[in-house]
This record gives sequence, C-alpha cells and structure tokens, in this order.
Amino acid sequence: MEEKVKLLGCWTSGYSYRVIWALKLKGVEYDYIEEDLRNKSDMLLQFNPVHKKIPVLVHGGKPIAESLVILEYIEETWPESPLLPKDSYERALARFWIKFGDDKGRTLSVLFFQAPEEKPDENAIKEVVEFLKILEEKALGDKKYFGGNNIGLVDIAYGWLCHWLRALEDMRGVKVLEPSTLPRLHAWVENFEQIPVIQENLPDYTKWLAHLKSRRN
Amino acid sequence: MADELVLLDTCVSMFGMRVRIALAEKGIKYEYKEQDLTNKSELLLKMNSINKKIPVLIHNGKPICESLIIVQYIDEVWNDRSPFLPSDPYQRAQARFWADFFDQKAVYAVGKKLVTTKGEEQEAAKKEFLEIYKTMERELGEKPYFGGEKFGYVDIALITFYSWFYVYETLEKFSMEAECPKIVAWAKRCMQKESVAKTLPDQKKVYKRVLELYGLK
Repeated sequence: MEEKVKLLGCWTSGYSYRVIWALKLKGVEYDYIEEDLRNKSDMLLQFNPVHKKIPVLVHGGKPIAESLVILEYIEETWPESPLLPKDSYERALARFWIKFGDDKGRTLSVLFFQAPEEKPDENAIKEVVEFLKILEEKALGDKKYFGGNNIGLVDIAYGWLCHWLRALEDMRGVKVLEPSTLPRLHAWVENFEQIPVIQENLPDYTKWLAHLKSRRN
Repeated sequence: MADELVLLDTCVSMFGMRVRIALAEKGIKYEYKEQDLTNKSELLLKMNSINKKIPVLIHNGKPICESLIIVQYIDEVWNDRSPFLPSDPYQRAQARFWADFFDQKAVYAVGKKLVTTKGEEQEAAKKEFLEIYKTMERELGEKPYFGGEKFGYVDIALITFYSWFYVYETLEKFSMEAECPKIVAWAKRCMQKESVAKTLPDQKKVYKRVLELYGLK
C-alpha cells in the first residue's frame, strides 16, 4: 500500500513549485497544503523546526525539508520518469548546475529589493547577464533542455527564471533575456513553459507580480 | 584501464580535506596537485572555469567541482566499499539535509568574524557559532557518528572544521568541550580513523597560521 504524500507549500514560492513539478512529472499523488508564511501552522513548525520554511514533503508521516533535498528524495523513491542522468559524472554536473543557480540566484533578489525610485544597481545587472550567459553557453549549450531532450532536475531547479526575469522587466525596467543576445536560453524559457505539467502548475503571473510588489513595500 | 585521478586543492582548505578524507576512506589512489590561489594555474582555470575554486577532482580528464558534490560522486562511483550515504532514501535525505544545513550556516565565515571582530559583532558571531554546533549536537544525539554506527557523509562534511576549534578556543577563551561536549567527543572519535587523522592538520599549526593570516597577536 502506497504511503500518503503531503506537500506543505506556498503559491508564491519558486521552491514550492520545484517539488510540485517533480511530483506531477512522476505521477505521484499527493495532498497539497497551502501555508500562510506570516502565520505558520503548527504542522509546518513541527515538520521543519530547523528552518521553519516551505516546501516540506511528508511521506508516510516522515518530513523532508529543503527543495533540493526533496527533489533527490523524490528521484530515489519514485525512479520512474527519471529526472537525473544514470551516469555518475553527468549527475555530478547536474548537481553542480543546480547549486550554481541557487548560489547566484541571490543576486537577482538584490535588484528586486531596491527601492522603486532607485536606479537599478548596474553591477547587479552585469552579474545577472553574466550568469545567464554562462547558463546558456556552458549548462544549456545546444540542448533543448538542461536535461537534454527531456526536462530534468536542472530544468526544474531553474524554472523560477521564467517568472522572475519577466518581473525584472516589469518591475525594474531591466530586460536581460533578449532573443538577440541569449537566443538559446530565451528558447528554453518558451519551451519549458509549454510543457503541460509546467503550464498547468505555474502561479498566475499578474497575481504573483502584484504579490511581489506588495512584499517589497 | 586504470583510473586516473587528480585532485586540485590547497593543503589548508577544509573543503578540500573533505575530498581527501573521502578518497582515503575508499582507499583510492590519486595525484595531489597543490594550487596557488593567488596565481591560479591554467589547469585549475580550465577545469573549473565557472568558479575557479578548489577542490576539483579530475577523473580520467573530466572535472568534478564543489566538495560535497565530489564526495557524493566518489560514493556513487566506488560504491562497492565504505558507503558514505545510507541506502534508505529517507535516511539519505536526512544526511543531505544536515550537510546542507552546515554549509548554509557558513561556519568558516562565522568563525572568521569570531576571531577578527570585537564587541557586539564578536558576541553575535560567538552566539551564532555555538548555536550551529549545538544544533548539530542535538542532531548527533547519542549516536557515535552522524551516520549512525558508521562514519558517513555528514561526518565527512563536518569533521574538517574541527581543526579550527583550538583557534577559536584560544583566541576567544571558551571551551568547546564545555559548550558542546558531544561534538568534541564525536570529533575525537573521528580522529581515531586513519583517513581523518592523516588529513586534518595539527591544531597548533593551524593556530599559528591563522595568527599570521589575520595579523593577530
């Protein structure tokens, strides 16, 4: 008998969606619990006492926290529709790119959390462009997805780029992902968003942007 | 065909030590190449063109970067002996979570603040430093190792930072044994292992070097 799967998440969090996408791609049934992060539930505090954050996956009553740890757990527990390569070297590369994205992702947030009247931080913009260039040239290359012909954990880990880069333009007037300068990455965003599981499980952009703006104020 | 392994590292790097312990645990032979980070070699720049950091493990010409990714790679490739990660997916997730927690807390940076700042900033750093280790101590509980009965992934991730305990204790006049007795007992237990004893530097030598490094009395 399959043990019950529960996901504590938040509709505004990119980390939450990573887990949703992985579960859906593998056809894993789960109960979703929306958390109000300004008023954390007892269940969340009990299941993630260390960080008190979402997402938390609960499988057969046992909690796993941290999105990347959860993704590796999902991959190992439900090996059908694999999201990581079989080859150990390729797996190490995938893990490297995932970590790279999470480490660099913080730079983007600098641009968002500046005051609206401040001119966008030039150095931060430069860093973002460089980051995207590296992704396009070294991580994506000529592949359709980071995972090759099909999406994998690296694509899932970078899914946040889709909404955030759009928001960067709408909120800060900073356009970094142009088809003329980053054609392959630009194509990746389009391809990624068209995958049915992804398309059906993305927060409404307008609603999400409004939330982002309110959070910043 | 014999495996060709090269490790690009610096002898003082606690991240590099993780890899050296992992290789020693599995009885793997490799060529060690000491790097000068003030004058980075062409090999390092080629093998880790993204971050330009050590450690880098080069396996039959192919580079793997990031200490914990390298440790996982070693565990997967040489999976016939001394496993670092447990076989149960839930236990593996817990191990990954705790190693990630420790790295997220940036003990090295906190420790640096502890010995190079004064007043309120130093007090805050000391509090943070002890909190990290007390959290790890609670996780360790009564187990001989973080891995349970056997030395494993989390032990490898943490033990290399033990070589700085003497530095913190001597400069800041507190006793890790008094504050975190189980951690100190665990560390001494790890030091009984040849792989650890041969890799970790002498604590007094580290102390001398740190004094020079930070220009302290």
